[in-house]
Amino acid sequence: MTNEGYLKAVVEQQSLSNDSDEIKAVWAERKKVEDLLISKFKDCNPIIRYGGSKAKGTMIRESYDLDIICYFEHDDVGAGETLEEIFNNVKKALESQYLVIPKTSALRIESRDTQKYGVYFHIDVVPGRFVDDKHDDTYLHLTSGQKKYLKTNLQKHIDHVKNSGLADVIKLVKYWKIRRGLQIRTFILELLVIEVLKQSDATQLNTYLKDFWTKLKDNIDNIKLEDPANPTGNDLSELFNESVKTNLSAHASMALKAVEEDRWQDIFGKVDLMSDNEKLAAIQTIRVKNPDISKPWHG
Amino acid sequence: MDKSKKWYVKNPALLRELNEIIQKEYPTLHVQVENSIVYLRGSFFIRTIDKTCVIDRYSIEIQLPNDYPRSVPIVRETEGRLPKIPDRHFVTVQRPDSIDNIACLFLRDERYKYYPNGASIIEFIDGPVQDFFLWQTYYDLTNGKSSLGERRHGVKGVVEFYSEELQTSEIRVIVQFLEYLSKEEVKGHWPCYCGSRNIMRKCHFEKLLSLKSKITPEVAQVSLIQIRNEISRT
Repeated sequence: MTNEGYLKAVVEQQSLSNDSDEIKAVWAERKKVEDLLISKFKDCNPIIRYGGSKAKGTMIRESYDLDIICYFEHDDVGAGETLEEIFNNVKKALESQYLVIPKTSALRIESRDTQKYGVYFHIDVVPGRFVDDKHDDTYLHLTSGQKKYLKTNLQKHIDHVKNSGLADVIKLVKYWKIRRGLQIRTFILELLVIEVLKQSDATQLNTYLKDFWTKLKDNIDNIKLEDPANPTGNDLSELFNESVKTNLSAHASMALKAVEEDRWQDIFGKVDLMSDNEKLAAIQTIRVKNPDISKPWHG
Repeated sequence: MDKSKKWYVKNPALLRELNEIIQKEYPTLHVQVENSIVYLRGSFFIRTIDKTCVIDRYSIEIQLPNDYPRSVPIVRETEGRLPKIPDRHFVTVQRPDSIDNIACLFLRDERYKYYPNGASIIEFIDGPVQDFFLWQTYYDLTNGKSSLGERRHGVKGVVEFYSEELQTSEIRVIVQFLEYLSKEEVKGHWPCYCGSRNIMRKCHFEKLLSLKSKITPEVAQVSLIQIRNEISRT
């Protein structure tokens, strides 16, 4: 198989169709979440939209999520007068049925079911308020940092990714991020891919990736990222700080070394995944070699 | 917290060493300092014995204790893939403004087997961390019908361990053993814990001394209290 063929096979392996069990589960839960929000805020008519990797077309099996955007009208205070109140009221509404973990501007929902307690639904709810009646720009509450809110535009983010023509490259870079355990927000990584490759002459996945990693290795300090939804207003420097850059650059360097030595599989793994029976057999082999495995205990 | 007391401030070489060894042995885990606590975060792979294939992958966080490398690190699964329930060996701790779900890697009395004093962070990850997530994968593959071995929950697990060590299921023997084990010093002329009426020196002193060198009096005391509470409850 050529390197390009291999990368295409990786993208295929990682792609999730709407028929997949994972997406069906997300979609089923999505309806429950929406029904809950609509019933809890029936006097405010929240406008529900979708974001996240599902909307952008960049879902991968190892990392996928649906953002349920719950926006209120700019002049409606039924869900709360301030952005913080809106955020907390949406959180409270969701807590009637879910475990809710506040993130910077979203609410991650997990199961309260006694057998699945703490399992993530791959759904985040993003509460916000429209700036005006055009229903484009929105304000979101921020739970951390000096600024307590930001102005953004969901559709601009979605279009920025969809119109880049780099969805498959982004999928592979996301997969690289997961496999290397890189501590960088996916949103920043997407912007980075699009910014770095906007003037690339590449036409194939392998050359796109080489270009991307070369830029990260040799010139990461000169990469400037802007939020397409609010280029002058939203400062991304904290999310793309020195520590993140150093780490990314180092891992890009490792990736390029692997590519030079034709070790693409060291980066993305084998295309043919182990079957369940193969995994069981492999675990039994480990067990035989190490019979004194530690025994977990719930205290 | 007073930053001057942090282990990585008192001994910066230890943090450098940690960075180097983690980059070398576990390059998919990353050292991060946040709110004066050191974490290892990233992807943790379960591989076949020859390391050529990936059996499974987890997103994890290892929180190093303030007295690193003495106490046992705290381990969490951060992707929300595993149910955080007792049957999956997670304990839920209520914090002031959040819920914390922590992996229970082993019975505290068994620490000497799996992460003895002086063991390195790599031995910790290679050993109990790997074993814990291997257990989880096996559980999922067999739909919970089979297990790689586990301790029973709570005090039953404590009793199970001491029953195996002392080769008895008699609670009074286990309690007496733990009473001795929880003391700073023990004497050979004391009556043996087994109830034989012999002095320990002529009975099972060696067993007590053997475990005394591995289990601290504090840990033994906690287990003793747990068993006594259970006895008085029933």
